[in-house]
Amino acid sequence: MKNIVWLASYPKSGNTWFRAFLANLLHEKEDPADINQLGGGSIFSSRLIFDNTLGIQSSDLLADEIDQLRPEVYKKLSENAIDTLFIKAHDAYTYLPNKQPLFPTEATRGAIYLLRNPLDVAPSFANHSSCEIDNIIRTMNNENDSFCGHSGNLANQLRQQLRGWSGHVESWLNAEQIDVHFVRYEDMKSRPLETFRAAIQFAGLNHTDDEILQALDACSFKKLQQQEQSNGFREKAAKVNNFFRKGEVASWQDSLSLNQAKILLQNHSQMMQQFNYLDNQGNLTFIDDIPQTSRQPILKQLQISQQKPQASYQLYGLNITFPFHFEELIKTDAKADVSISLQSINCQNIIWEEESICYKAKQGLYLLSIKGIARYLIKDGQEIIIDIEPNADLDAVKLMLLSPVIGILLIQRGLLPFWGSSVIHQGKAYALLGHSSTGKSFLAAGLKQKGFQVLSDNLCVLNNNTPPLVYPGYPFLMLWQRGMLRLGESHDGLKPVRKGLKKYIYPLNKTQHNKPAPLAGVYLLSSHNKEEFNIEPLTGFQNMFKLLDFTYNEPLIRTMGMIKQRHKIASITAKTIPIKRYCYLDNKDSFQQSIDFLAQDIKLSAK
Amino acid sequence: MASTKLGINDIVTHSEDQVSTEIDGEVVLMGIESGNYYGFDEILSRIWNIIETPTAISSLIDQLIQEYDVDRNECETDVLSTLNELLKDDLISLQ
Repeated sequence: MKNIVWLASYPKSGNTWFRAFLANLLHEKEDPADINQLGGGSIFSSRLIFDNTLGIQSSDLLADEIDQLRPEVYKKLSENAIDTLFIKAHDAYTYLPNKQPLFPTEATRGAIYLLRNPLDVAPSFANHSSCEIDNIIRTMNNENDSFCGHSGNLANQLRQQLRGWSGHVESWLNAEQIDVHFVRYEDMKSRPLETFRAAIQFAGLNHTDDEILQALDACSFKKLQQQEQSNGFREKAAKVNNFFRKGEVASWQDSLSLNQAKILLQNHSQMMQQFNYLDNQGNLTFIDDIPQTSRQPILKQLQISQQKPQASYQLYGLNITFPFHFEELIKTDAKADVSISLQSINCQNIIWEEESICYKAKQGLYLLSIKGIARYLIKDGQEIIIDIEPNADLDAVKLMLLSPVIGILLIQRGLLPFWGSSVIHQGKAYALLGHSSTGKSFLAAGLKQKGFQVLSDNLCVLNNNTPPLVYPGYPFLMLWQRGMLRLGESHDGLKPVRKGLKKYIYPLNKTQHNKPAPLAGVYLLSSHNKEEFNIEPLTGFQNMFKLLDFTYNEPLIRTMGMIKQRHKIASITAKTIPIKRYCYLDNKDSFQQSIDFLAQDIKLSAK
Repeated sequence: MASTKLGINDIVTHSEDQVSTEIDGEVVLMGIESGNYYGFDEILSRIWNIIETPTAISSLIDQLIQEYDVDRNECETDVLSTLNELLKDDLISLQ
């Protein structure tokens, strides 16, 4: 269904203003819409939407693999939408290796492309990123630039290719498969009614001039700034003082040096002329990827391991037989509860109850397919079959096995995995639950430095005891290079989780790592832009609701026939265990203080 | 069943299509078929506890008037509209 309207722009070109306008236009009340609940609130690059829609963790995939799945995610959202979907995007209009555009044509009604004089973008972008204007100018001139593209840490957004200011504008200018309506920021300022009216008509919305004017008034810069000052704005980068800065046209003259302006003009004159920022004589009209990894053939790696006998390892209280060696896990000789084997998978005759982009499921059976890596069939909580693609990287195969695959097996066995890590204090377990990129592994590592023992990373697995028991996971943490640097840990000699990711296997003490521990506290991690950290207890039914946000998705658990079990374990937890929201400050000066604060809270609650 | 309008002589109780639990005095409910979650406030949680065993709506209202400072007519209107909502979502059943 062609129902997505992309709100595309280079950063700091009026996208948020346009969405504030849309939110006010579509919002039927008199009072201005809340800037933290803007329409088109989902960004095309949202990691959370990606992870929730696919049921896998994008943090384990390479940026190019993610890009191949992104069109599928948005096709799915489009299928499920009743109305026009406005989705913000900062990506350039690019093509995937299979020649298909990143923005799925079959789901697209059109795109509104917002652009702004690059001379004004530069100071605004520099403020947003809290960096020097010269650095931003280099970014804007860099045709290979991308946002959130560093593989050394995990951002809450997926990698977005920007391709420099001119490259970005040009990519959308050449987007042949879809209709693009170009809107200049300067026209939004100088001729708001005509400009906004034309844009919403393009999107297929019908509103009177009065309604448009009213919506414009409610999102005037002054009002957006007032709201930000009193309530904060969640889309602001963590370091910056104000997101809604000047909103003026040609304010660059106060912020750019002559030389900086010259460099920008030299690099962007063609696109600036195309959009009348420069006239034919070149005078200003407004005076105002991750490298492809070299993959070793899987067969070679497997032949080595198949020469040796199978090995059994302990994981989440189970003894699991693996078809390859996994030295980082804890070996066991006990009788196996679960066996993993390598075979080809043929599921053609199975009638699935639920089919999603990456997985198919029914009671007792789940099939996960990850292109370029492997297919996994998980049966009755007893057996996992892996069908590896010919050139896959064995480390990637192992990573997907640890999550989500083992998590699904545990659900089939009646346990409830949450996204989170856990630590032990005085024999009791404390869970740190968080979505991808909220720092759950990093915090576990920080607590370890303060003397806590880490019980599990990434998955926090509970049973239905009162209080629930938390099972020990794999005896290592997966830490991003940036987080390790921050903690003063070196990644020298550590193995990356897979080639191409700067995320490392940081070993824990295996001998401490074999017993489940009763749960005594749950912290829900929340990243936000406030200038302080805090811990706030939750009460009543909120406990239960917030807790459920951190489990595998509900339709999947229902299909697997485990919905009552999920309810049972979550309610025991909500009833018997203190649940707190932990807002932690992710900046290099005060993160230690916020970890101390958490450590203190755990110690106090243990008394 | 979904369109039935309840009267004060009807007898209602929890349906089989839900699981509920109480946290800090507030009831949380899940519809098993729908997967929807409901969080109840104090009074709704009290009503939920009273109708755990089959109860006539009239005696439920008598009970609430004794416990809370509320006018009978107002109470009757509110209780009936609330119970109708719960019935519509199959969370309670008619005996």
